[in-house]
Amino acid sequence: MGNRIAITGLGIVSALGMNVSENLDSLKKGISGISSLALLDSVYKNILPVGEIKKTDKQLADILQITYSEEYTRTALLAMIAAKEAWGVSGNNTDRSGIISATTVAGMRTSEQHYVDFLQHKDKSHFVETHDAGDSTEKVADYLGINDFVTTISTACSSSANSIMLGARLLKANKLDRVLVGGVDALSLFTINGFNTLMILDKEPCRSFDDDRAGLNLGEAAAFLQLVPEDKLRKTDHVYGYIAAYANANDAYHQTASSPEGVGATLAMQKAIDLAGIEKSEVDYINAHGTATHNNDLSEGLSIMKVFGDEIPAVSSTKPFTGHTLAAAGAVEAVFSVLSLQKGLIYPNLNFSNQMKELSFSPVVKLLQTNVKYVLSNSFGFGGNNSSIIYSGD
Amino acid sequence: MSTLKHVYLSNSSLFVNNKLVLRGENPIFAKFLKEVYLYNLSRYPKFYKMDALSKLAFVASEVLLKDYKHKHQAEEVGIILQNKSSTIIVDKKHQASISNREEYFPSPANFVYTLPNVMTGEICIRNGFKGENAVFIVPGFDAAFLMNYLQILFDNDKTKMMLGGFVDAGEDYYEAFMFIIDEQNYKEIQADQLYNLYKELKENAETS
Amino acid sequence: MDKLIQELKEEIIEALNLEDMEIDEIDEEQALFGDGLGLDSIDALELIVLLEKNYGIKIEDPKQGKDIFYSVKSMAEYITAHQK
Repeated sequence: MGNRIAITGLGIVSALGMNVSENLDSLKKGISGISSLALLDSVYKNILPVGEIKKTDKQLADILQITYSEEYTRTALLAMIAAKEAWGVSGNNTDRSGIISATTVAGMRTSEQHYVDFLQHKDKSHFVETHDAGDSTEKVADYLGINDFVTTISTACSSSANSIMLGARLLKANKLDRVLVGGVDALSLFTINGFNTLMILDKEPCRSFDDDRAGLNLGEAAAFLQLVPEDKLRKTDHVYGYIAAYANANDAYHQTASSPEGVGATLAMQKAIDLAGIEKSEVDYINAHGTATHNNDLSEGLSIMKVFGDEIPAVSSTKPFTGHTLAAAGAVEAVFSVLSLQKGLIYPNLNFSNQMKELSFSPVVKLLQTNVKYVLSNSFGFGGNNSSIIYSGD
Repeated sequence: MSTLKHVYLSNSSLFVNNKLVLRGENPIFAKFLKEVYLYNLSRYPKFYKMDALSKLAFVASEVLLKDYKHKHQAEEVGIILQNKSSTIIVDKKHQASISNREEYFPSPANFVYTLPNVMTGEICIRNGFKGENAVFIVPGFDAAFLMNYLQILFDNDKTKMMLGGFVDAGEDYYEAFMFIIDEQNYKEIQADQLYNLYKELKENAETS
Repeated sequence: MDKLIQELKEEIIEALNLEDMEIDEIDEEQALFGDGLGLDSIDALELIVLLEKNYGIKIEDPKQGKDIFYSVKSMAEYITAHQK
């Protein structure tokens, strides 16, 4: 396998909690973070459930012990909390260090509040600075003093899976010694209304892989992983797991929808397994993309059947816990996957009751305690940008 | 550069391998695109739904790939394009549809095209390409960057055949330069030659 | 009905940005989706917006769209039956 990529730090903030241990606790207890929207004024407030982090921007700044100001969007604040947990307090100044973060909505949540005024009132122009996708990444980089490589990825719902992949590639190419990878998205009217016009938001808590599924719930989160190549590990580094392999493939089907047969998803999973140099039967758990839209769960389910045939491992989607956190989803589920390896846990697919007619398997519905060596995590984006990453325990 | 198949579209002119093959009758960009589409391409109704930038990239790729014989699997083919103005034409349309509170009807059909990499997506969808694809926003055609990127892909055995180029459109300008490069000829093509070729085509189109 | 069909064709061309398509390139009985005009699920949403915007008809369940938007003719029939 050559020089393996070790995971030496984890950080997460989601509707399940403000750090890794709170998230793990909710996963173990089977408590979903889906609730009514409380911190954003939307006409869909009591209609569309969401995975919301119940802290105001001011409270988030307090957690970070920084003075709250308009310079920090909610996106940046969430990213800073999770990034700090993953990066730790110890300065790594002697390393060539980098950060790759992912976001889709960026500073939109703030921009949309000032959008109408902005055209008349130029004094709102400072929000333009916080609008672009790179702003939250740069805030994190400044906050943690990471400055050898700073970039931002935006490939819809596979964004942070792709930032993990890019980070691992930069380490393998010996461009960096240590990298913080992950992603963030805050809830915004833009995404709520946008996904609502696509008619893919469920008015109930979402039901991934259920025959009666009626769409997704949006969520907000930030999650990061610290990666170090094995030969650059320090004595002080704690290794949580490894990135065994990764692959990204496209569907060449449609700008937004996944191909019904899951062409790209099949390719991505198959390639990742091949590159990991393992048998498909060695995969213990698939943390599925499982958004609960009609289109995704069908095409993902069929492609899992295509890749794994008769021996389908335990499958579940954790989206019913967190909601679909868009650009953050890949990193959120990377953290969950690493915890699965560490703790020997397979999480339940909440809200499941009816087997999908088209599928030969159904998801895990109860928390399982078992030996977990390899976890495959899927993240599929708009337009068939499909990423599969395999995490291993040792 | 004789081994490189290329097309250039601008100023109502379509060049294939530096030869003027179509001189548009209508100076309007959209009308010219339809002329190229109808010129000798096969029926593809989805063409009509695309935004101007995707249409431009699409017709360029269709002309480029027409009668081009190769033995590569579609899955091994990729496409890397550069662009300067992103999707400014459709961005403005989208903006107009959401600028008035009373007449607030954003259009999904416009919205899905407000990303420049959708143009590579359309070409992949049309041809079943599943290789590496990306769009880089640059101040102007950057042959050195593009060739370096393509060479790395070939050197590392990531691809067998690629489409490359620069496709850009705004309200009163448009140009598409696109070429096919493969594992056989990629080492022969130097970035400065490629840039000179682009310059020459641009000048020809301006004076044609 | 014929007047409505012509009107709808114009509106579809406008709403779906088929700007270079001519009205007589659309046959009112031809399937709008799949092999016919080649429309897809995003266009279906656009047609839902069109019905709401121009005819005040609201469709809550996108699955309904399949029958309504089969062709220009079926759209015209639905509008005639549901317009207040």
